[in-house]
Amino acid sequence: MVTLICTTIQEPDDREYILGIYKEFQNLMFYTAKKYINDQTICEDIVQDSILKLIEKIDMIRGKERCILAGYIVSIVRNVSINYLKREGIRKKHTVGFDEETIDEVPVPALSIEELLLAKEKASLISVALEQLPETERLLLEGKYILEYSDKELAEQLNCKPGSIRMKLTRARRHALSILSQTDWKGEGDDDRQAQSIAGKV
Amino acid sequence: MTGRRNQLQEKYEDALFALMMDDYFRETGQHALDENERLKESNEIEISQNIDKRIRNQIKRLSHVTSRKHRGKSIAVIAKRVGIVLCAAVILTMTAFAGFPDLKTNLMNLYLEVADGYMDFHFSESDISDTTETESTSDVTSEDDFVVTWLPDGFYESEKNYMEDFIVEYKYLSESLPEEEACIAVTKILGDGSTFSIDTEDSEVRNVMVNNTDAIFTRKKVFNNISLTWRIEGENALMRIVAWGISEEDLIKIAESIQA
Repeated sequence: MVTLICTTIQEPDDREYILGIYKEFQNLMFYTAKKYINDQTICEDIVQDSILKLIEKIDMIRGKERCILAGYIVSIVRNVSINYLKREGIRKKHTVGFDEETIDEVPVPALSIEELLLAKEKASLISVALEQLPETERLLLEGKYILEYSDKELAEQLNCKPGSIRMKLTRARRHALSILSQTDWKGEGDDDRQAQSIAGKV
Repeated sequence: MTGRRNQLQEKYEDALFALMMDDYFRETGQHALDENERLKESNEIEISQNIDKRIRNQIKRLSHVTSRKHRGKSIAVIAKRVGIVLCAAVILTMTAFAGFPDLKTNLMNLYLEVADGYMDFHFSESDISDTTETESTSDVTSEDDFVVTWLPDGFYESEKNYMEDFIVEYKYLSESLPEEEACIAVTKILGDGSTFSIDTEDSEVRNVMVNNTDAIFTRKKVFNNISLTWRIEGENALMRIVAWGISEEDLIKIAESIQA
């Protein structure tokens, strides 16, 4: 009976843990926020919101390796910053260039086995593929695979229905894998024109 | 592509991408860590004391809420598990009651109260049929009698008594030793809404088995006697043996030889 009860007791000192993370990574958090927003006051709000997100996910991040934690914190701040920009209606070079309402109506072709194998071989170049993705798709993939957000949380961020997240994820994933399979080992796309149109880069 | 193949393709892409992102995440995480160390050393980022204080206060405030939620959640989880265990115990007990009428009868008829210095056996009142006068004024009848079929060497039956209305007692004495040094008293006590107490003060008390029945064994050093008390199966009655000058093994042997 005692063992049964003991297994349900939560970890103590959550407050101390979060304070410790803030003390350790405050510079990195402000630095990351400043990459997207020049206004100091808004940066402070971004960092505060990011702390809120960390508190919500404390069970998930506790015990993670330091490098994973650092990457997670940067992803959180980036995610909050970009969502702020989208809310404020500010369009930057990395925002979406197509109508989201039509996305789900367009069938997403599956990659062939050869393409998938090619993508797998070039896994180390995934960062190149992600940089070439539209920001919404990148946010979606980072939110799903790095920040481990639920479909509901992702839907709130993208302002869409939770039911459509699965299709959007499939599309984003296949897009990234397709770019990866076409990327050569120098990190450049085989078809520069195609890459530029997809990314919508200025 | 068929629906099933579509699903398999999707699962494969999902797993492949998850592995890629995990490696990418580790790599960017290491870069972030290096960046963090550089920023700490360079003092490139200036954070005002106001905002620093505000964020720390926010953490303290919000962590309280999270802790309360966690505690509430923990309490709820504990309560749920305790509730499940209790429900299981109640169901098992009720099943035992329903499935074993003898157990129910025994438990309902007699319960034991243990306190410092004494042990009470409480009897419930048995079913009382329409009262009819009988010739005998005693409630103890020949049907309540019993026979002790084994005694230690040198003991003989000395007395048989019907005491009050609910006790049958046999006394056995030794041929070679006086009563104060060797004596066995075997008593059957009928229970009918009464309470029978046995003295356990300054005594060794423990459970033993007599013919697969739990019995209470006592050893009272000051009186130099030993006793066995147990409930008679199928009857609203107790059997008790108090003895001087014999061993515990002989006492149990006597108990097991009693035939109702």
